[in-house]
Amino acid sequence: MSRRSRTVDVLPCFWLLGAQLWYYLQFRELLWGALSPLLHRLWR
Amino acid sequence: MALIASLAALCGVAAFAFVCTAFGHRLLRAARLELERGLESLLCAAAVGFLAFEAALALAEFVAPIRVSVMILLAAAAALGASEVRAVLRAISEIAHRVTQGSRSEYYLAGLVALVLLIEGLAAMAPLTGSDALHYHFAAQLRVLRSGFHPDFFLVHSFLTGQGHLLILCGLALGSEKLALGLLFLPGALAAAGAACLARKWISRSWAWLVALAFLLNPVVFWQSTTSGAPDLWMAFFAVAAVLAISEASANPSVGRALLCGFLAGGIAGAKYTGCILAAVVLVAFVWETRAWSRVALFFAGALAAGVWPYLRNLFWTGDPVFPFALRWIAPERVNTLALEALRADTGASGHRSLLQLLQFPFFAAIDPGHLGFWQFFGPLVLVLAPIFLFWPKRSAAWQVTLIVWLLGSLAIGASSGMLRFLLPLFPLALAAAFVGAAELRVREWRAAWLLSAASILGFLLLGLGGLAVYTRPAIAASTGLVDRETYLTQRSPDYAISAFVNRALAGKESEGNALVFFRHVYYLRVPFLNGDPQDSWAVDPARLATPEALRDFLRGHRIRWIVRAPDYPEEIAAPLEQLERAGSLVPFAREDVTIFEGMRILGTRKTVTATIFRVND
Repeated sequence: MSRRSRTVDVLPCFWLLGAQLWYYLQFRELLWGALSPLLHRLWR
Repeated sequence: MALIASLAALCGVAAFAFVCTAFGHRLLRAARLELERGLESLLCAAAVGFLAFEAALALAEFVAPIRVSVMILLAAAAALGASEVRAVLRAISEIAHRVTQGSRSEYYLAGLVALVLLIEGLAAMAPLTGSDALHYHFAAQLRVLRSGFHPDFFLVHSFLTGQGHLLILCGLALGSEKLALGLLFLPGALAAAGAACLARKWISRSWAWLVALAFLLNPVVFWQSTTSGAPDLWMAFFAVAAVLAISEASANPSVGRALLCGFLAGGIAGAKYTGCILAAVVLVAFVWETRAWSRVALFFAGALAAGVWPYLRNLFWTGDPVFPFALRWIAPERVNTLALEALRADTGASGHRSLLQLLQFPFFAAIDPGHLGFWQFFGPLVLVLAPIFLFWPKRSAAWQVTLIVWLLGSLAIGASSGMLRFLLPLFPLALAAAFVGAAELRVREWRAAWLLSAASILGFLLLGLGGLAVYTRPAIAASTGLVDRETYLTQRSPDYAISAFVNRALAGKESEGNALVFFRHVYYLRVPFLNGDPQDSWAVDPARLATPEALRDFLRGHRIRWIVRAPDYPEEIAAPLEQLERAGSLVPFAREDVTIFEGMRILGTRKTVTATIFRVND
């Protein structure tokens, strides 16, 4: 794989990760509120 | 017993869908539209059949008793569709055969989709608890059944009900709330099939099944198709059916094809006011794709036949087809400013959006942090993967039509309402585009990006599956009989305790007059009532009821014998009501402490309030 194609391959990863992180962070309180009781139950 | 009733209702929904599909098939044949066999033709037939049934019922409402109309129309649809039963059965068996003969991944994905549909179907059979449904989606239809087909100015939202609500009316008229709920679960399954069908134009069958699965496991979708009691998913189904129909339209479409595209667009417009925006966008896509200006009149004719009915009803009743939004210009003296402003705020019509916020709408990412809730949680897949679809190399008619309806429609809804959940009708299109984007990463051998996107899809599917399990557990417990109806409603249904108290206290006194109530969720009230909340009631205008005398005349004019205070009166009309209390015109009749939800139900906070029923002394 050439350097150019490696770059082309990796660049979308930043978008995929960054955009998802931004999206999930907006719902962090709701998601945590929904997930924490489940995690707590599993932990115990 | 509850489980048997739930399964029987689901079978009833399947039978209803079969009758409408056969009926639609017959109509398509009459319009000389010989569609190819397979899922696409079945979906178009189902859409046309349901829309024709709704249009006929809308017309029948004006002239005949509802229950009789429903029976006659169902019998007529079955009779007309009888000749098509074999063709529909053959198409269904061909689809099933293709699944069993397909790859192993397709087979398992189809099984998973069926399992999710069963879970959602059972959850949908639980007694009604959705807030808006208890307020008007179901409550308004129940009032039509009880009091007849006439305007109800005490429930302003009743004017916002569209063609989809007629299916609720149909279920209730047949004596089954479960059937009505099942007819709101059905469009979720149909829209998922439509999304898969659309995606199949670009990607493999296994990927298409994955699109259907991702659609069904989306929190907004499973909320809408199970407990919400709202008919919005019908719009999603008609939108994807319209895109499929326009994609197949040639440069010079036949009369039947133009009518079909218009009919589907009219179905979207007839569902709710914002549907008109989407229908206009579908018209743009039709003209763009076919360049057939000569067929626009036919498109309009089809659209009017399917979707003009709620607007005609409102015009006939109020003089304003989009009551109450155009009344400011038509008859400003009849405007209830408070109710209008409350409605504008509720529908997002009064908000302002920046350009950046607007650009987030096509990607389902315009999240409003002020009203954060899972009703905005469409997931990040459209945001991260759908942009790749924009640069899809093989540009077909389906690609153009999808792009026009999805992008233009979401921007228009964003600009007009600013509410992310109003994008639901476009979600099947956007999700199909997102999965095409993911598949393209694999084709281009962008290994890291492909693996990351596959992990993102898998992660979101697992999150959706977990969410579905947690969310539907109480509803399934009720629909299968593990929890009895009364306990479920007491625990889950907002304002149920107040309704139960009013029903008990006023039992046997129905003939004495109406009860004026100020709480929102009125579906379970079994005594004659009028909604008195000035924010929801056009008839209760604080500007016209400022004095005790005016209020007394109002109570007498509307035969109001009882007033329910739980715990306080709405502040806009509290003063004259309290003056009547002090003057002895309102006499306490019954009092009870009831436990209700505080704020939104999802927060789970409860409080105990005192509900008091006053008798109005003449």
